[in-house]
Amino acid sequence: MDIILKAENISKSFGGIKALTDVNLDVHENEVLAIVGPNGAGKTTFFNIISGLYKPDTGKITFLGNDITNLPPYKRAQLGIARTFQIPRLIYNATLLDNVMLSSIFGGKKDLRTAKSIAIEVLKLVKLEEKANEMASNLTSPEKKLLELARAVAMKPKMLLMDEIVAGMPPAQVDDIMKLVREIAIKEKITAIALVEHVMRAVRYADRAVFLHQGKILIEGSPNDVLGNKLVKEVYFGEAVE
Amino acid sequence: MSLKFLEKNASFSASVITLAILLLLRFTIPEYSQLIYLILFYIALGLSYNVFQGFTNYVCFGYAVFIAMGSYAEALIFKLLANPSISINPFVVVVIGLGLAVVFSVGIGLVVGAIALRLREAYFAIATIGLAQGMRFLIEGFKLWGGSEGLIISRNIIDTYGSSWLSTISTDYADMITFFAAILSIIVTYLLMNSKAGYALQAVREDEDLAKSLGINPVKYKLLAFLLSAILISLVGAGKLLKDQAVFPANAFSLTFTLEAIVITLIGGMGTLLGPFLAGILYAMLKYYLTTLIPGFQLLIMAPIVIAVVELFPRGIVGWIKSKFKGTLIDRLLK
Repeated sequence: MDIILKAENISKSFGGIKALTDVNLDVHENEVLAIVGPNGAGKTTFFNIISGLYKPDTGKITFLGNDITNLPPYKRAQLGIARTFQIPRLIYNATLLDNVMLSSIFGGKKDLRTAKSIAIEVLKLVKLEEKANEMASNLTSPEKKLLELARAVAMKPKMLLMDEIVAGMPPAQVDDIMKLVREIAIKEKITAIALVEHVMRAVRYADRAVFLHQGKILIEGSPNDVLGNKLVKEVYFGEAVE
Repeated sequence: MSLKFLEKNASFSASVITLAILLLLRFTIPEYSQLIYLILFYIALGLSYNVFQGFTNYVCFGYAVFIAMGSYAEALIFKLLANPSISINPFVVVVIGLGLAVVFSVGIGLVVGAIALRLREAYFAIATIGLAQGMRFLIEGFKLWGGSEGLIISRNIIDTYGSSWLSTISTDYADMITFFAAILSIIVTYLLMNSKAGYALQAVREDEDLAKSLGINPVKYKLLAFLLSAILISLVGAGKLLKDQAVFPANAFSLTFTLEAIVITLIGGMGTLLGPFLAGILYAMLKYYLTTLIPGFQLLIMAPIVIAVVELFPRGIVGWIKSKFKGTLIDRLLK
């Protein structure tokens, strides 16, 4: 499989705290990758570096063969990197339709008319089409997450970064959303990285998982291998390593 | 006519029709002309400023610089072209002056905007505080464009066109230019609201980092709003020069215009069309009648009114009505 994103030797410090140390990660085309790790492991920092909100102290990011290390976020979005936020960031006094249209117009570089039809399509995918003309502020928490997903998909991205998309959801809903993510990824030909923290249930929907701890990637493998790993168990459940 | 069409265009049409009525009154009832000029001036001032602050949420304390540049541009062209040895039609001179006003405002807007608009809200506001005063001291210090004595064009008008033109230029011409600026600011606001740029600016206004991750270059759209706003208000400045027939740095760069622009935008409702439009009318009438009824005390009365309105309606009058009728037809009609 072709490599779509290559992160090499990424390091990032905030003051004296090393958030990431020499992180190397390849993301392949058509895979769903889970980045697992406890709070403060550096997952969101890594996301912010890929999407361009932070600049890494060292290292290089290549996306589809282009060095994007110094590109501003909006150019990365136009190249096909879409993301969702851990805490949903929506335009709350705009309608759902406008929220989704925005990303299609700018990230997807579509005209208003095309953007509108894409937005309606995508809202159908996440089953929010009936609320298309409601204000985003009226949505429930899980709906806000779905709207974020819809907005990212409407960009027709090549890669989708999802920061804690299922956090705080009941198990049945986790299953629904992760199935939906896989479905959308196949339908829209998107490589997806799902970033998950404590929601082990969601990690099982990934093709591959990496375990990030204290700013370093420690383990890489199939979701079952990673979740079954002793060190991972120790970090999450405090089990002693024998 | 579909409901969607009505929703999109009702506020725009209402404000254009109101302006047309004002113009009609101006030409039929001469004693209203001073009041109507003031109304046109404050509509244009509020709406031009709203194109920037209303669409970006950024405050520009140096806004007066663009009014001053409009006045200076028009004055410089009059000094140069209103000259008995070259006989150019005064209308052509005025139009060339407007052209220079646009050039000046775009020039300064580009320099200031490209640097300062990379800063976030409050830092931008601070950065612009020095703008108007800096330009004023530049003109006074280097004795540029008449230095602190300013530029007076009445002599040029009398010598070139005869004294009867003094009043024609200070009434008909000044009023028409201000009317033109007001109608243009309505059109620009309407176009911004219904364009790609309007979508971008809404996202930038709400959450700049989010806007970036959606593929929007925030500086580009903030600069666009800033330049449009600067161009519009420079036209008002040119009209003001024709009204006063003189420009002095001490008045032209005064903070008063900037504060009035902010007040009108806030009272009416930031980012709306009808808000600054209605607030501009109200403000002009208050100012006009307070000045004639109790000269000297207008600010004393105006200040508590402004504080009360901002306190009671933090989103402005139109913003308040819209939120009162949220989701209803009234909300969608008021733009």
